[in-house]
Amino acid sequence: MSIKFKLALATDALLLLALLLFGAIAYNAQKALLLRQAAESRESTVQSLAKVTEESVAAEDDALLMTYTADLKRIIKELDTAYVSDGKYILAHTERSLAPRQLPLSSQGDPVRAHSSRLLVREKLRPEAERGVSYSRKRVTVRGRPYDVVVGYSDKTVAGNVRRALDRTAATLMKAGALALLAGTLLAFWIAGRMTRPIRALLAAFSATGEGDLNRAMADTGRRDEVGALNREFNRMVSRLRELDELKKDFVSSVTHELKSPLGAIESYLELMEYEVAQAAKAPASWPDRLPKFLENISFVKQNSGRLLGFITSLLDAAKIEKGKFEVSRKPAAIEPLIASVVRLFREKARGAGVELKTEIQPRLPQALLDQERMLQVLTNLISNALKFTPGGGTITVAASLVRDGNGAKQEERPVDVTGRRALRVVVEDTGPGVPREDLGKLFQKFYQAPGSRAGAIGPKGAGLGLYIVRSIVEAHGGKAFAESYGKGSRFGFELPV
Amino acid sequence: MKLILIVDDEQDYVNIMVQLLEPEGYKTLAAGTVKDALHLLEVVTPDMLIVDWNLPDRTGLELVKEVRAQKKFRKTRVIMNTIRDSESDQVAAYLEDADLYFTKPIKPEIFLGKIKKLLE
Repeated sequence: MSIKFKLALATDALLLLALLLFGAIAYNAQKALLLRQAAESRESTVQSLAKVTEESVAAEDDALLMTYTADLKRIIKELDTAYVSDGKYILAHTERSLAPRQLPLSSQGDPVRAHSSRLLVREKLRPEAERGVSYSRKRVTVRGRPYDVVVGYSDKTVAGNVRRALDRTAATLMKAGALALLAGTLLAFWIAGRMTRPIRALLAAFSATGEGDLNRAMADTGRRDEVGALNREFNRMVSRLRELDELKKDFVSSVTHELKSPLGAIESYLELMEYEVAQAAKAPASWPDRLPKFLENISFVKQNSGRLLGFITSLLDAAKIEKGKFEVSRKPAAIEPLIASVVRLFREKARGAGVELKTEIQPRLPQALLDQERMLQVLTNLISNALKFTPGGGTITVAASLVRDGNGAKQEERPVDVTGRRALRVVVEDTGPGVPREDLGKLFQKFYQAPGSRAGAIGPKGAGLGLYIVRSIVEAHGGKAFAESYGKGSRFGFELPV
Repeated sequence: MKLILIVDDEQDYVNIMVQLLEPEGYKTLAAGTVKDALHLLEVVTPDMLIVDWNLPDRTGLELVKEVRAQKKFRKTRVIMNTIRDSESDQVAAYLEDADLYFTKPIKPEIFLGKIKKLLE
């Protein structure tokens, strides 16, 4: 069942409940009102009759009272009985025959009077409930004599009236309710449809993304609700997926390149050497002249196989890091000799590229817990990176110093902070093209290469593993690796606790 | 003396090609990027271009396209020499009027034989 249908159904159920509740309240309120109106009508009838009694007794006009009382029955449907008595006799009664024919009451032996007196006694004795009549009574005093005015309404008639009125009300309520329910259902479906439309659109985008289409993006409607947030999160997810996809493609192409190009070069050198040997065989006298080139070619083959080995080692290191099997064995050692040996290794290459390679080591640096071999790998990666991106005439500075928290560099210049109080800080600074600020953090990710960096690199371009390995080694030492760039040149380095 | 411009960013291949071509009496020039190659082409009109596909700034194919668009290079022979060995890449290169398509690694006999024939 779709959310749209569920929402509409839930709305409908609520609507029905509200209608029933409202109907019940309206029905009961109407019933109470009708009953009160009946009681009020009885009260006002007794008041009127009392007034007429006063007037007719005062005017000694008993015909007025009798006619009025008799007429009440005709006018008021609910009226069961109304009579006026002086305590002894009935003066007027809705039943004409029960009223005395004349007033004042002069003759004691009148049979009508006797009958009337008996009736009065009967009326008074009869329990009200038995007759199904509700009475209102009023006592008026005229010329010193009390008169009882009694009006009784038939409960059955009143109830019948109320029921008829309520039936009409119920019918109206039913009709209105059915209409409201119909309109409500349509409205609920419409609203549910509107509310679920962006979810359905998102679902379509999700399945398209699942099928591998990474170019789907939800339009930013500026909605502040969960749907808007969902859209934004979806876009974030897709863009992250795209990034990963790019990274994967980059990785595949750089691995292909890094494996194929030294292998291709080795094969080409071997082909060349084979050709050279064949040429020399034809003219043995030329061999001494060919020999130096031949030996040089062998060194190029070695260089390329070394490059291949280095790359494969990096891949294996990255795989170890991934599996969590990357370990360092730390012993107290000084960093200076390590820096010196790596710098010595690169001096020749730097001179060849026309780059000055210098060191700035603070004297009396304390020892740190180091895995010397791994630390050599870190320094090699950092310096070879710097060399790769520094054009001729540039400078690479390898600096080592002791820093305190917040010392050594300004806080905002240090994207990665070290929480320790004292740290050994090693920085390799170059005068290359620098790295855009937004790419700095990503540089330490596996396979990441800053956009356009391959074009600017000098020599082998790598697979984006060097800094990832640097970070992993430094973190295994309990330190932090960092990258800084200010548009011109960059600084890569790390801090180790001492 | 015939002049050959080698456009390749990998020093090893430039080195190998120079070692093969110079003893055969060809003069060689080398450029590592499309930009450098275009600079050289402003002052020289080589008899042959040997172009790698993957160059740091642009693709070798784009260089071929630009060279083919200029009248003064109408007699210049163009060879693509690349590690890319797919058929579609070869088709694309021939569509840009490349004369030959070599895939690395370099086979000296074939390499020299075909170049000699093209430059006769």
